[in-house]
Amino acid sequence: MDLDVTAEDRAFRDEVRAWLRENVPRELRPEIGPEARAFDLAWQRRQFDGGWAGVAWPKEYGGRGLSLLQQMIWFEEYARAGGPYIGTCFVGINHAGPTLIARGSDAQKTFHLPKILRGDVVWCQGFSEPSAGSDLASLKTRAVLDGDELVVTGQKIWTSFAQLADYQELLVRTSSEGRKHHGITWVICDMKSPGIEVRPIVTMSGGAEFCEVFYENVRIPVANVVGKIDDGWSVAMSTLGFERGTGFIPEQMALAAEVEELIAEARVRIGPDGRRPAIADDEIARRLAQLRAEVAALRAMTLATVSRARRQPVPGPEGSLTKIFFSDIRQRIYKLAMEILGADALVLTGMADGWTRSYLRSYAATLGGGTSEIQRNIVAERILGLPKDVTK
Amino acid sequence: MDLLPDEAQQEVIASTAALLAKELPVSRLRDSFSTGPERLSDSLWRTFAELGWFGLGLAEDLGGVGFGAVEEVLLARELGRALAPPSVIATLLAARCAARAPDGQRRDALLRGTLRAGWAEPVGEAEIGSRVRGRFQLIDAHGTQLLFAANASGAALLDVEAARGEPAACLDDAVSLAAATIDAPALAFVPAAREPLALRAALLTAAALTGIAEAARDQAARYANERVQFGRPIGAFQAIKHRCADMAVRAEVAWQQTAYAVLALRESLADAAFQVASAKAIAAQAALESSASNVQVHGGYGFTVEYDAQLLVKRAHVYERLAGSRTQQLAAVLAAPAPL
Repeated sequence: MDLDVTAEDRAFRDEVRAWLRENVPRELRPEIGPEARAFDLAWQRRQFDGGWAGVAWPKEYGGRGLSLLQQMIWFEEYARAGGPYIGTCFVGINHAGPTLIARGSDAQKTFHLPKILRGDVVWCQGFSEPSAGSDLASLKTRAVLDGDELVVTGQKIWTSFAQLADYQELLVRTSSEGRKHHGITWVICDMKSPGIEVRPIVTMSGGAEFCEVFYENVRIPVANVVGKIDDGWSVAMSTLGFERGTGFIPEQMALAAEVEELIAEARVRIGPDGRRPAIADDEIARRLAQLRAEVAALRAMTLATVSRARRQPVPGPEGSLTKIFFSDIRQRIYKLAMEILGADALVLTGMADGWTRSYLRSYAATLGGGTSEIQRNIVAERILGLPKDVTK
Repeated sequence: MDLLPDEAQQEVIASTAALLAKELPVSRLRDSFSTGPERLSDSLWRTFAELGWFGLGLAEDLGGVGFGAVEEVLLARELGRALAPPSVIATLLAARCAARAPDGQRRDALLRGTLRAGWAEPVGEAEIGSRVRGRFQLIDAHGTQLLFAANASGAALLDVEAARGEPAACLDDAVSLAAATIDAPALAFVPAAREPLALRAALLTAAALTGIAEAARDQAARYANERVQFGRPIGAFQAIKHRCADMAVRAEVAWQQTAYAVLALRESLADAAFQVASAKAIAAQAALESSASNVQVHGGYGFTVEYDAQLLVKRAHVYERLAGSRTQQLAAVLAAPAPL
């Protein structure tokens, strides 16, 4: 156990800080539509040109080949500099990219990874289905082998940015023989393929980035299969492992800044007694203190994740511990914000700003990336060794 | 930077855990409701001394083993897990206090295991300096010769005779308790500017609380795997398994924050006090909530003295009070400057 920071890391931090100061976009990130895509890709391109895309990705695919700790330093400084939410680049950078690095063929890596890093393309995820949510392995979207193509028919749901995406990480059923976890295939789907229809879903926070995606005889080359046919479950688990392990690091770092902002808000807003600032209220003060301590602990957990990743390149179930805690803190921050805001809590401002909008959006925290209930199953079964669910 | 224990540190953990599992199994305390406060035998205490526990983090030229705060924290976590008497940690802190005062004679006696210290925990405002004044709770101080007291001004050693308290029954039967008003000269005093011993004390109690939270998690998981109802181990039911998962989350959160805080303290980082207060607040909550949840997992048995679940609840409350309560720590967390 040590906090030793090498001279190299310190110099790296200074360099990151200086670059971000000059380059972080000043304008607010557009929340939706082609404007959001254009903004995200332009910002990704700018990071790439500056040499900052994929800090911990291998050099041969355009990354910088540095340590995960340096990647974390980057994220930490990014949050401090008020860098924008990664938005439409999330799946490419945090899901598809790491999965391809771990499991993709050389041809897939050479073709896709530089495009993701350069900000040429947007990826989306096609895992969940209307009848396969928490029970992901029961997915039914069918793919039939026809020559050197898979012919896909079915439906996916909760696909963020499907209407803006170029590629999709798609889970399909290639076999119904044996256990349901067998017979799933992880395949790269070109979203411009004929037979794909995208329908946006409006969410409770007002965004329409969520979509349903319908597939009718969509033809995908077999060369797009990542891993082996019928072995997609293990590939999907490494995808989700990256998400739960290291994919949320930037958002974890950003939460600390949110708590400090909320404390500042509580110092200036009049509290529940109508006279003193909100922070003078004992209960509000206690909850703010609790959150401040908890985001510090979240950072410590992230450092532990980074330390673990050095010993074990594909994240294990420990990522679910962090995911549960992170999602819970996030919701409590915005619940407390609603109390501190008082009457203003009812006022909805722009799509991209305001505590109330963030509060509504925070309902997704315990749902996305696997519900907190599923994460608890993972922790209980894979870390504590408790028996499987009755229903399995 | 590395937040995980290295090989030498894992060795400290393994050897400590093995000795405590043999000498101090938690089940030994099941009868304490009738036998009263526990006092470890002189021979076991000497064994601890011979293993260097009381001088684990003390430099070799001060008579210690020459490890640091990190190894002390690893030890305290195991002591918490085993529900070892809180006076073990008080004695370790007392030895450091004596060494830094300096008071070589008492230091050596504490390190050798011939002197023991209990806790004198301030109740409300207390003055801790070359003279100690105020109201205190004396915790696990029976059969000790010294008291360890600390607050933001510094840390002091007192003669236990200087604080004849009013004995009270403690909610934890295995721990002695007394209320005392003290107005006496300190035998040794270390101002916080020389070394912030109150922070070290808070950190070691955070580690002990983490050990209790982990013990609760492990007891619950074991019982949930063994206990069968409706034809299945109860751990198969989400109502139980999710409780257990939450205990795993709390233990992980408490441990990683404690691990970071001890490194921040060792490196004297500017936000060390904030990190330590956060660790104590979070570890106390983890121990209290997980030990309570563990009773629920054990059902009716958890409510009886025939099972160990209740022992963890009670000890969690004792450590929550020591070296600054959760409420006091949270106040310190909010009063600290914004973390970096």
